[in-house]
Amino acid sequence: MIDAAYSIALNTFKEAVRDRILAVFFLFAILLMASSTILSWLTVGSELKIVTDFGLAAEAFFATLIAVFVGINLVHKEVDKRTIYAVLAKPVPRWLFITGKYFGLMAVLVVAIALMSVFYLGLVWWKGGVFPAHLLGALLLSVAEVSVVTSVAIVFSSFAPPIEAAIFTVGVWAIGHMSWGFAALAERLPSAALGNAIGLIYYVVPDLETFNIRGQVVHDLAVAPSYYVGAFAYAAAYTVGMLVLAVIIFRNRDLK
Amino acid sequence: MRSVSHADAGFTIINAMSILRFEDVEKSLPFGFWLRKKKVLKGVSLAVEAGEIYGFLGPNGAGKTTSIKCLLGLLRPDAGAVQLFDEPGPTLAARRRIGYLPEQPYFYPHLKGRELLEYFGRLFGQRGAPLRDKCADLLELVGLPNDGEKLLGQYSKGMLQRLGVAQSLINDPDLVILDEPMSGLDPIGRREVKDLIMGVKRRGATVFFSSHILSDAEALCDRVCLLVDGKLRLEASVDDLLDERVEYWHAASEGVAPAALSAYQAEATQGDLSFYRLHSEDEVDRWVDAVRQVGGRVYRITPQRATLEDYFVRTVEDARGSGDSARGEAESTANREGIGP
Repeated sequence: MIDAAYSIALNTFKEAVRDRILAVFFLFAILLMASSTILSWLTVGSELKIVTDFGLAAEAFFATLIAVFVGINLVHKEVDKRTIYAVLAKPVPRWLFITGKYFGLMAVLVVAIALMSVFYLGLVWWKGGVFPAHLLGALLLSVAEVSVVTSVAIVFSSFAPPIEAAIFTVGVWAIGHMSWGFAALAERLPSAALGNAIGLIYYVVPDLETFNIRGQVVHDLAVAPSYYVGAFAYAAAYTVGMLVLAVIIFRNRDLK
Repeated sequence: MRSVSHADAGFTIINAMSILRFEDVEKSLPFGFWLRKKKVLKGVSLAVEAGEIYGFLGPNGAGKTTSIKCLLGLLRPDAGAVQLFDEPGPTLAARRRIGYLPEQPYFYPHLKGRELLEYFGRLFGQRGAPLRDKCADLLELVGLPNDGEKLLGQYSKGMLQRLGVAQSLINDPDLVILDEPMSGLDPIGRREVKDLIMGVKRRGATVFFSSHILSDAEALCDRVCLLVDGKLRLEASVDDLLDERVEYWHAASEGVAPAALSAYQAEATQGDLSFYRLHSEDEVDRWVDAVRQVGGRVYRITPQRATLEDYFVRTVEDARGSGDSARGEAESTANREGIGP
């Protein structure tokens, strides 16, 4: 089982890294981070903050972009291109296929984030000579965020074509970054029913702002260890939940 | 396993071991914009015995690929059941003993030939040097010993088909299921794949393959069945089908003008030769006498037996009511609905 999962993950990894689009994303991420140094010239005394903030945002954005663009195709492309038939005719349960796909894409994202981080940390060091506290924590939380986004993309990829899956996933990502607003809105609405409906969105859609501590990093504020534990536990629980949902959908699907 | 019990004698004779069995399998699939369901399989029942090469024949759109997908668990039958080895359906244990070549194998273009085989080998839990050796042997077996390091995107259709056969053998399967293994291959490629299939049989494995290339089925199969519009119309051993009576005799006379044999209708003439179609041994005797009486010479008499293609066409036509319109309908249905063979 482990060999099979590893094999599927490795194949997913190879497919992504041998695709030119990943190199293009990577190049844009580097350019965007580099452009933060130009922006920092416009400010006085806060160049490090600009570079830190801009670079973290760029890294999270491009990692999410990769998660969405690769994730929405993970299952659908295999079905559409009929490559899945030879795989599932072998002793590979469908849950293992989904799990292998997830780990393959996560390996891509961890490598992409690591490579972007090397450039980013070099930039931060060049600008300030020091690394802000919790910079590493912020980078690890971006891995947690893309794990959640990847799992959501896999759910949509397990039943929808790429364009629809992309719209749904980007929608969840966008709402996920303002879900705190839905919670606040639910409390203020005069109608209890509408409030409950809006509140449900808050509970169903992942709260992706949990993984954003850019403000604390830029302004050198403290982040409690328990916050990290909670955020990673939340990411793990949400990811597992989404993967289980993807398996339930995919398990019963006829592969016409 | 099918057995016949002889209670009086106090023993049991095992007369057949079914490796693969369909029991009244029905399947409907959604087609078109409104996803209206169309019954593709209408109660398919068949059994494949251990060690044989079984041809699963039928025109395009008959439901062959749908049946194979039901067999492998890619589709779930609406009714009926499939059995593989002693397992109810395509369990993991059963799939461990199966090799499968999909119709028009689409493999990952980002992988190299060797990598694809290693990928599939690892799905069976193989690893390390034994797996690498196995992949090299299989590449050699299918005639691609120097192409293992090429990306599949650079492979021709024939090369992909041969690699597809190689991956179907990665686990030394007891049952090999090949969906249209000869389609898209040139004559040399078809010959090579035929040899591979015979090699699989010699190794003791059972082969179940779908095809609409009847000459290949005739050359390879021990038994065949014919699926038309989702129903099994014929199941027989190839020998039984082909050993039946002579259909007619092709006769040629030399040095006799067709007008001199007015009792017989010449099909064609070529120089001094006239060609006739005769329908019984008595008619052949009478024709020979007639030729000699008018001073001619019997040039040739050739008995014509039915080919698998004759049975195929006749059965399809019988099943569908009329010949040409039926074939046209089958093709247009397949094209309209996008049904695989």
